[in-house]
Amino acid sequence: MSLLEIKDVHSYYGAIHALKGITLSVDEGEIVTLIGANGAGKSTTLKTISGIVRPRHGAVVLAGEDLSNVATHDIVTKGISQVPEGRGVFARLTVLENLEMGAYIHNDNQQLADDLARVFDIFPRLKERYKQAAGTLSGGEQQMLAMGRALMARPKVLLLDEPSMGLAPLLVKNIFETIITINNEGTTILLVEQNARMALEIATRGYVIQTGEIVLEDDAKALQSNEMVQKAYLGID
Amino acid sequence: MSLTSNVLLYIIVSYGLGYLFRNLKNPDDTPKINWQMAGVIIGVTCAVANLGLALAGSSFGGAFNLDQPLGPIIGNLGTGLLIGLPIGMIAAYDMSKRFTIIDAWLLFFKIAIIYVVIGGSISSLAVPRYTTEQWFDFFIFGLAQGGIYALIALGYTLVYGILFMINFAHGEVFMAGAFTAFFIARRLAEPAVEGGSAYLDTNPFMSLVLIFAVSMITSTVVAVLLERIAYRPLRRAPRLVPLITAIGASFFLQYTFRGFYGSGVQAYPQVNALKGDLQVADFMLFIALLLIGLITYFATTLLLSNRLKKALPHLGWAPPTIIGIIILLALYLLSSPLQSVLVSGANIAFPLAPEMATELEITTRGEYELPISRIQFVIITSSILMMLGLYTVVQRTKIGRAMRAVAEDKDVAALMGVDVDRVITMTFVMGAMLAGAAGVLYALIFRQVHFFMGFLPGLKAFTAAVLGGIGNIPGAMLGGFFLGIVESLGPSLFLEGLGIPAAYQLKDVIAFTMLVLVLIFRPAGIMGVDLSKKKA
Ligand SMILES: Nc1ncnc2c1ncn2[C@@H]1O[C@H](COP(=O)(O)OP(=O)(O)OP(=O)(O)O)[C@@H](O)[C@H]1O
Ligand SMILES: [Mg+2]
Repeated sequence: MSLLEIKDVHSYYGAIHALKGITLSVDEGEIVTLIGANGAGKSTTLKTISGIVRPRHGAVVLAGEDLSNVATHDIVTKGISQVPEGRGVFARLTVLENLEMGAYIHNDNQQLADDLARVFDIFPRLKERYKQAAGTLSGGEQQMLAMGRALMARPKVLLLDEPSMGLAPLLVKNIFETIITINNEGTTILLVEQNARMALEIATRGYVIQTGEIVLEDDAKALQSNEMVQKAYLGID
Repeated sequence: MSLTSNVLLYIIVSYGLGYLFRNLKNPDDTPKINWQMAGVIIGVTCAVANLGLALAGSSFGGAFNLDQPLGPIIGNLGTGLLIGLPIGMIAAYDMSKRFTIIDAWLLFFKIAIIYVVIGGSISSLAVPRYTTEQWFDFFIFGLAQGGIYALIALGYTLVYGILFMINFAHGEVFMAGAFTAFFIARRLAEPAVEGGSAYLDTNPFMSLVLIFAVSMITSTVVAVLLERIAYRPLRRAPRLVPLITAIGASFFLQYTFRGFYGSGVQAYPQVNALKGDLQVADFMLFIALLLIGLITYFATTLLLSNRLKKALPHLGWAPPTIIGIIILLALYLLSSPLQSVLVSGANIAFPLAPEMATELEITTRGEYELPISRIQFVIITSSILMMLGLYTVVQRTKIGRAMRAVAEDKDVAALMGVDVDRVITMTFVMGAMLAGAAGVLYALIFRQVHFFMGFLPGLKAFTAAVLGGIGNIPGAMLGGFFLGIVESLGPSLFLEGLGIPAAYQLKDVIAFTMLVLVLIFRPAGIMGVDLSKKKA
């Protein structure tokens, strides 16, 4: 049984049918990537998993438990954390307060201190700036903060929505290395990316989404050599 | 008349000079003199012109030659500068850019403010109509009134900060508490001869605690129901919809409470313990209790709460609250022995000279009366303490952090595990508790309650919140005090000086003029950040 399963999910924005029967699964310890063009429905898929958007049909199942009737704020408690598109740091809160918000579901001070130390270990830059308002951080630092904040919840599954967006190539490399580190430390990852090259590089498996439907799914290696993927997402003719 | 002609003269001179300075350009087309400098030059010119006209005996300047305490020269220069400088600054700034028809229209307002505020103050103070003690009384009254406005204003600002809606029914939340608590107060005040307990006189402290509790709880219940029934279903509706609902809810509450309690004006019972002026002994006791309370609270929470938190992590904020309540009770029991100790100690340390005792008609120094009434002191200190409390909650506690997070982004806050609905409810609860407390303070000082009593204070507090920048917590506090003080000082200071009769009745006009002016010139508030810009 997979850790996270999405079964034939249909999601809507009003009359807009954004997800037309998405089925995907993520096994424990994997890095799974979901790639697709603008407006394909990648973010909507993650929002549906986190409960911000509720599917009209189908189900999201975590470790065998159907999340359909779990409140959005309780889904984190079940073990799913999301780094939303555009980072979503709380600009007027300090870096430290943002991280504390990440640990909102926990009440143990000792655990909070340990987790803070771990996040500062992964992102030393955040430690230097912990008193600063998050809005004053650079884009790359905000991405680190958003990831660190998600880790503070101690998730089983971490959902990342385009962590490389708007970052310089060197920083992108850095972020992807961090994703591998986090994964090695035991967090399962579902990674949404437009940077398909990098995403397939680090992923175990991948899904390709087009206008709300999964059109391909395979091992990352196999996708890298798939002709359609090469043409549409890797820029190889 | 003379003030008017002087101001007209200043405007002509200022804009003339401003125009000249604008055309003084370096070869590279930058102005030779920046507008700040130009403004100062114009201001000084106005002041000198004022003096010149006065010395020349011209009725034009001379009529403005007030009975100067500093002598005619300094007096004329000074008054000229006080009015000329701001006009000069405005003129120089206006002239430094393109002067549009809107600027001309705004100029009218700006000059009007300067005319009223500065001109009026000078004329008022030049003819001493009031003594320093009277001004001080106005000021203290303004502070007390401002404290009440600030407490209510926080409710508007808290809700706006989170939901971007103006809860126009907040004035009714205030009324609901004060009006309901009135019945408790009246019951407690019933004298023994009429079969009552006169508990309000025999045990004023506990009576007040009860009155405050009833008021705050009533306000909270009303606000929570209001949010649940009227606002929550509209959370995703366009912004105008909840606004209109709020106005409807405001009327609904007014007439519901009119139905409950009748339409008459009820006189609030007098709390005898709060009658008269504050004595030194009371003040010393207050300071002592405050210090002891704060020190023991922080010492015990620092020592105990961390240990408790570790042992019982799910208690959250309960341990510090319980510790706080225990300390408050202990202080209450401690207060009367402490007061005797303080008073006798002070008497031994600083014995009162017999001549002074007879002159002031007191027997000990502790009876010396400070120039502030008890009730005003209670209002000012309790409102400040409550505001500090709220600020601490918002800045330092987990729920406060969650409130700030929800204010920024509800979806992301939910991703962190924050129950957004619960946080919004808590926001209404906090605002309502402050409003309920403000309601009792208001009733204590103005001594009456009725179903419509929330309307004007609510509107004033809204003004205060806008003054401070709506959504901004320290802004609401400062805006409240500022409005209270201006409203209290303004009529005597600005208006009477201009010869307006019965100026005190115009205090509401001052408040709402300020609202209009802020909305025209600084919609983000005096110290606010422009939310619309920040969000972009
Ligand atoms: N709040 C919304 N209201 C209405 N339609 C929306 C909303 N959010 C997304 N959509 C629509 O749903 C579809 C899927 O959007 P989604 O944001 O999931 O795409 P995406 O794959 O994440 O794209 P991108 O790579 O640009 O982030 C798009 O057609 C989009 O226009
Ligand atoms: Mg997206």
